Amino acid sequence: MDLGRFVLDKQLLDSDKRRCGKVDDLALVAENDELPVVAGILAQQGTLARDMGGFIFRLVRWLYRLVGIRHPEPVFIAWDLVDKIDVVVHLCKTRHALGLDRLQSALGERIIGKIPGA
Amino acid sequence: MQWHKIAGLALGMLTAVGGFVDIGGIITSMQAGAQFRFALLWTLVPGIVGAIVYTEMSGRIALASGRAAFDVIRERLGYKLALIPLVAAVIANLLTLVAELAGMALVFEFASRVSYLLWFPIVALFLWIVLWKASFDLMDQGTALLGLATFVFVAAMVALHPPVGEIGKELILPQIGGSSVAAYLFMIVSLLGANMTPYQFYFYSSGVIEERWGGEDFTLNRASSIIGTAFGGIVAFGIMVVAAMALYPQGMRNPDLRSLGEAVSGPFGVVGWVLFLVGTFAVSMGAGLESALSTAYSVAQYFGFDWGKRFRPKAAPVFSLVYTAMIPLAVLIALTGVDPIQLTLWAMAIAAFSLPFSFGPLLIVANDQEYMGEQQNSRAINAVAIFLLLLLSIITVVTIPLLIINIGGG
Repeated sequence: MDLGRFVLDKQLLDSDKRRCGKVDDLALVAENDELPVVAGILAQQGTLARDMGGFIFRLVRWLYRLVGIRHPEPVFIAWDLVDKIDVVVHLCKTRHALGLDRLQSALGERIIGKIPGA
Repeated sequence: MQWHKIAGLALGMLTAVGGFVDIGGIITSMQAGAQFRFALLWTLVPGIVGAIVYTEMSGRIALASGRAAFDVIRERLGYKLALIPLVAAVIANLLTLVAELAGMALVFEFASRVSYLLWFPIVALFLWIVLWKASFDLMDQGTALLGLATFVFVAAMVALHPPVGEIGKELILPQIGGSSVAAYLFMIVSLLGANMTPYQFYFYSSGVIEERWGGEDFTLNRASSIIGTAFGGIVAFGIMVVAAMALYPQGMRNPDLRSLGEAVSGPFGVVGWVLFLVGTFAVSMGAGLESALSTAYSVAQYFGFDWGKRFRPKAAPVFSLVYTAMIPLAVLIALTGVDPIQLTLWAMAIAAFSLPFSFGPLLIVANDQEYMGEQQNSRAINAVAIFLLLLLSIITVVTIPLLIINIGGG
């Protein structure tokens, strides 16, 4: 499978069909001299910012801290938690169980939730 | 089923309203007629054709792939390249929002004689309340219905008995007389930017998903794109001719919006004035809603978070935060005292500058069989779309020096 074309940058959907970010990066492992295999997906919490580095990375970390996420780290989703891949990547657990809802929950509780009618 | 079709046409109308007949479209069309009489009417032809082609394309992308156009663009281009249309759209949309809110505030200034700057924060809060509380259907259909009042510009054009033969000649061979070539080129850029704003295509595509159009709605998509755009284009034509007939002879080369309202109320009296106010308010509000929502759609889709009006704000917090944050930012920009007419012209020129960064990715995705299946662009559509993209790319290159010359020339 062409991972760059068919996996990277795809939308992630959890078992409740809720959006939970994109496939920002892939974790590969290689044992001995064997070809590397996909160990899992990396998503959210500055995964892309790490790649861009410099000012962008510092800014993103600061924004996460602003909403109470003091130590943002890319979320690792083991490959065996991927249910299927079509136009999106379907996961077999909820985003809450996978830790993919931290930013949305923080924004919801700390900012949006405080506005009447939210 | 019938209501679904009517609602679908409303989406096309609202999108076109956001393109042709928002405050940017009204002001640039007015300026074009007042400064150059009929010499810029021809720009409506590529404007209408381009808007139809790219609106239909963005809707077809959503229907074929089940996902909004920007969502697919993000995936197809990757996160680094997709940053370009995202940043371009955010900047253009924010300036457009300021202009649209200014349009809403100016209507109250005309009705009350209280400065639009005092009305600005009030209309901004009103717009945010509509974004926060109203359903997508109510926003879409409500503003499209009220926007029909702008047909008063077409009626005023007919009442002024325009010289049809002369207009026909100018459509083919425009005469700019002794006017500045740089000013003429700047108006071309502003008009094309006003008639094809980036937000309208991403908004339309996301709207197709919001309204849950299905795989059988390709014909509705075409009809909505054509009818909505045609309506917007006809109204823009009417505005330019009214300005040419009523304002140009008076030597008004930089008229304000009130002058246009007076030109419309000339043939129709108070009724014309009221329709002018209602129509201007409605289309400015519609375009304001579009530009804010389009930005929120694009940001949420870029990062892969929940988006859409079907969620309560707390359930789609990134989406809600983006359009909420745009409101105070727009107020801050307006309170710098920048002239709303000038700001509108600059916003439209910047929108024109950003168009290739929006159109290019749309074209790539619309030709990708993985996303489009059998609904890929035909050769004819590609030919028209590529020609327009090249035209807009040339405009992008000349926009910056024209902006500098125009600002320097005051």
